Amino acid sequence: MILNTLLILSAVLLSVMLLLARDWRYVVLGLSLVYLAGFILIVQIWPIALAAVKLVSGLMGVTLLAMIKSNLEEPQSTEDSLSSRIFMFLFACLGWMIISATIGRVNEWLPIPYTNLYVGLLILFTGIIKISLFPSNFEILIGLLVFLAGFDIIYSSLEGSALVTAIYALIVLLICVLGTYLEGQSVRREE
Amino acid sequence: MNAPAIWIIAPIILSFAMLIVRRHYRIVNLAQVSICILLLFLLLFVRFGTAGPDGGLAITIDPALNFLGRSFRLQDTDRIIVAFFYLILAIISLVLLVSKVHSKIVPLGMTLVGMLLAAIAVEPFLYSAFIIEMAVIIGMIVAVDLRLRKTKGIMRFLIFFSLGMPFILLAGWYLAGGETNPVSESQLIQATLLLGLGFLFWLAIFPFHSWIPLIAEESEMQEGIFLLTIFPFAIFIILLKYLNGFAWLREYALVYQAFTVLGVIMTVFGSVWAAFQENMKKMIGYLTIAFTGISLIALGLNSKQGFLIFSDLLLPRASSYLLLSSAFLSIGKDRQIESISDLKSVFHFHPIAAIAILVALFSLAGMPLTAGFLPMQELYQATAGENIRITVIILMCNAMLTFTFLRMLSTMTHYVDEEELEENPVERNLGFDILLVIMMAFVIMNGLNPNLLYPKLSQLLSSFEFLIR
Repeated sequence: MILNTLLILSAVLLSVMLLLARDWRYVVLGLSLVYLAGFILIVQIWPIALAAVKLVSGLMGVTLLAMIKSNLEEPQSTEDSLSSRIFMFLFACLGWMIISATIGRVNEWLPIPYTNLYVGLLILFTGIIKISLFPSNFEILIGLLVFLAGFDIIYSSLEGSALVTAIYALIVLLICVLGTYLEGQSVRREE
Repeated sequence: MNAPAIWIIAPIILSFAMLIVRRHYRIVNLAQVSICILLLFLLLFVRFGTAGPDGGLAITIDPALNFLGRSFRLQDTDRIIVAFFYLILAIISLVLLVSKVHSKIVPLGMTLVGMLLAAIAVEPFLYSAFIIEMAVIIGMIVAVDLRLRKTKGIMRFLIFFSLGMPFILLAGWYLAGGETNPVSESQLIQATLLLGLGFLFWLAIFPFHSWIPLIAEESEMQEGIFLLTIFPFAIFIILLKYLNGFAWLREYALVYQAFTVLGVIMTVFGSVWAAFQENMKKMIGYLTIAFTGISLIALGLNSKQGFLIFSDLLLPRASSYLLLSSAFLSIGKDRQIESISDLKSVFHFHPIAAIAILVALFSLAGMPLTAGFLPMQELYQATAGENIRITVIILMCNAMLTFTFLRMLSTMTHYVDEEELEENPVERNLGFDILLVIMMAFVIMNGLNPNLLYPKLSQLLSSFEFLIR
């Protein structure tokens, strides 16, 4: 019970971190923590070996993105204004309220553990906000990874399959490879 | 050996192997053409799991490949689908070889085709959503042109397909329960809504269509057209698999009504935007939307004739797109084509390519003597029997497109004086011209003699035995 409450609270904090952090290092750290939270939730349902595949593939992808980003000189962000952060935070608050208000009905429809559904939806919603409000490819791809991680927490609770795990891991890695491909062009230009 | 190993796994592995030696581009391109032709040739002699006709040369192979507790299965009836994918790739690779143009379709096209076939072959087929997502990422790498630094279209392509994936997977999970237990009316509506939302994203139905014109605009013509040809085809096949696989879904009248309504919206939207479009690449994007709408209207008829029209529509779409792509490649060596005005007087400099563009466009509009005539004629007839208003809408849309194409004809044949022609000599590529003539002849031959290929194409529907009643 305490662990579940802690996981929900940490998901809220991660959501704030992913939306408000401007330094790519914090964003990447937030993504790594999302994978860790997902692992803790999934390992309660699945064998540790299968759950670990998701964590390891996620962290591998994060490493790939971090490697390419560390080689890239950070341009000045144009969206550092306080008002944009407040807007983002309020938007996230609205999402949390909607999720909290509807979680009971959704849980009737999707018969999975309450914590998994709550955390999954929170992370999924954070991903959607990130995809829709951030302009850069890097932020969009991070948003997509967050969205997929949130959905994975929900879907893994419904269906467990080695093939799904393998394909999901490949998708995460491919998105990260795509991120390095798109960001790598900027590195080559600078050189 | 089994069918998925030959037509799915081997091409993907070969594609990655060729990626390593891609600096020898011409050899890799030639290898890709040869592999595609070999795979097509093998389809003539190999049967998947069923014995061939008596006295024939058919070799029977296992149709399934087991992998991580699930299987990839290509039925014998799927051979025409496999052939369709590899034929498109073979033609586009051959065009690239003859035109000596570099493209990421070589060798990533084989990975893409392999993945789309894997999405169609995977069992249980609700997992196809995951494989489609992987194919989208490969498709993005094929389409993105980093020199232009334009990535808006490909990012939307990825986002919309990613947003569609959860809906398809959740609907699949819901429907899988419906296979064993009877479902209530409310469950039926929920599952249909989920599936509908998923396919709204995947088929780029208004208002989730914006990636299509953007991809067409931001990528090179051949890469954009390649993606816009094979992705909608794969998504339609998966949609048909869902309909074929679940009895209560295919008998739910609301599904077909939704196809018709969405199809009409897409046809009108795509045609109007294409008609008023000045950017040539974007115009092709909007034509894709319009044509997807027409295919949806055909499916919405919910009759054997409707499904036959759907399969018949694939030929003009694929042949016209390949012809357009080849013609623009031919002209593109000499001049940059962005807007319709860039085609001014092109007929005098590139007569064969100009005729090819017109043949392709008029075939898309369903003009007589082209491959597009028969399916369009059938569609007018079938929709007139159901709802005359839909026929009128399609006719008006096609009339609008025809006027636009006639306007292009006038731009392309704009007068140039002899001096200008002599001052700007065009380097001829005889091989490429011959290829264009053959492709044009193919489109016209199928218009003059529909029995040539259309009956074969309708075999595509034999994979969906429950739909064709």
